[in-house]
Amino acid sequence: MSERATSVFAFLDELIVALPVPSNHRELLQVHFRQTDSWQRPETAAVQLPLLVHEAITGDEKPALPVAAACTLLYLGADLFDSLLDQELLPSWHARGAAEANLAAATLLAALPQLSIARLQEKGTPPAKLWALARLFADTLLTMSAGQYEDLLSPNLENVSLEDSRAMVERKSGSAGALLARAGAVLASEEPFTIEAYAAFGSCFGIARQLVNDVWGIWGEDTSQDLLNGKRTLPIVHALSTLRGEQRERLQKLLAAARESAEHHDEIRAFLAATGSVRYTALIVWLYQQQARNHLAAASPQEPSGRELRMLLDQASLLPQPKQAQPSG
Amino acid sequence: MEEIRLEALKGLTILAIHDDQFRRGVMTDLDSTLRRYGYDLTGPEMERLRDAHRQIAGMSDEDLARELSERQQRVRVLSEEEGRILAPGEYVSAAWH
Repeated sequence: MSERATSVFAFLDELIVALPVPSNHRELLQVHFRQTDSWQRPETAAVQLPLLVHEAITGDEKPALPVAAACTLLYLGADLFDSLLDQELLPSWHARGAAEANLAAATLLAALPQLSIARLQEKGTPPAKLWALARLFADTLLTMSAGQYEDLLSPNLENVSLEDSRAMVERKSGSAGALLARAGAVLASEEPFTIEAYAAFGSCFGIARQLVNDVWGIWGEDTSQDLLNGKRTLPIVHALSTLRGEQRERLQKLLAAARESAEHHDEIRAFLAATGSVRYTALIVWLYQQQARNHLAAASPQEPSGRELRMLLDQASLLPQPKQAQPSG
Repeated sequence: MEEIRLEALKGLTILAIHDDQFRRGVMTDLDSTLRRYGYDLTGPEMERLRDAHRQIAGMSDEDLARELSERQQRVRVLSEEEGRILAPGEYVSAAWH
């Protein structure tokens, strides 16, 4: 797993070093991924999926390295924007400030993925395929932006339904997951059925992962950044949909107060636990995980990449993992 | 274990999101809720669903959150170990050039 991440990040380093920009600008673009600890690197998705899907179709992952790098850049840019919005900038940005982080995020997201894809020309990838990949990144970015906008608006909305919450996750994270898998498949194949099967796998995988992250966002630390930011993630929307009368009003008041301090975060967690919101989210995650499994089976991946993809999918779960993870399916 | 058909999974997801009665029923009484909604899953499909349901219903929200927390911690420790063991990749020159 780490070898793939190392290879992609080495490619990114080389891509940025070759950019025709002043050295201090290069350093700015390297801040976000150089300071990220290895365990925080997007090893399980942006790095892995494009490479594994390409290998699952052709038997070789190496030609997809620029595509995996482009996906990783998109992830890093979106992650940096998320950190800015949620006021969670990592310490290495503190000396530089939000304006520089904004500039780096925009460049990582919009310019560098295209330059990474352009490297495919060196290996003779036809212009039509390069254009298809560039268009795919633009379409996905647009959908992710729409989902992010809904996410921004949601804390101030009176009523967010479970469907609103699900649709937001699908736009924000399902589209990103679909891109990661589809990009590898587009490079590897001309077959629409295969490409769509992998894209559907990626979408369901992305949704399942995001829902797991949403639970982590509430229970991961004593002070929940998601509660401070007033996020209306699925567990919260479920609790609000389940409670009635005074209890619902109480939770709404607590959610409003939780934006000011962490004092009420434990009480909110108790409310969510009493309504079974984590168990409900676990069920939805499982359903998406099973859908992803079906789409992957339909794509008929070559082994051992298929096994690795199933292992990645096994991790997108709220249920206990087997002690010794065995490939499933 | 046999996969559950995609259409059934999609239908169950839609009901779990949109239908309040289904949402409540499926957590407390899986079999009769599925019957009431006219689901006709095969034996192996039903067994797969029951297996997941048993795991979910058999844990509290706190247990699930604790399990997730422990798993994240394990991933972190493992990745830090790998980070120390693996040398920086010279993969690019080998793989790409």
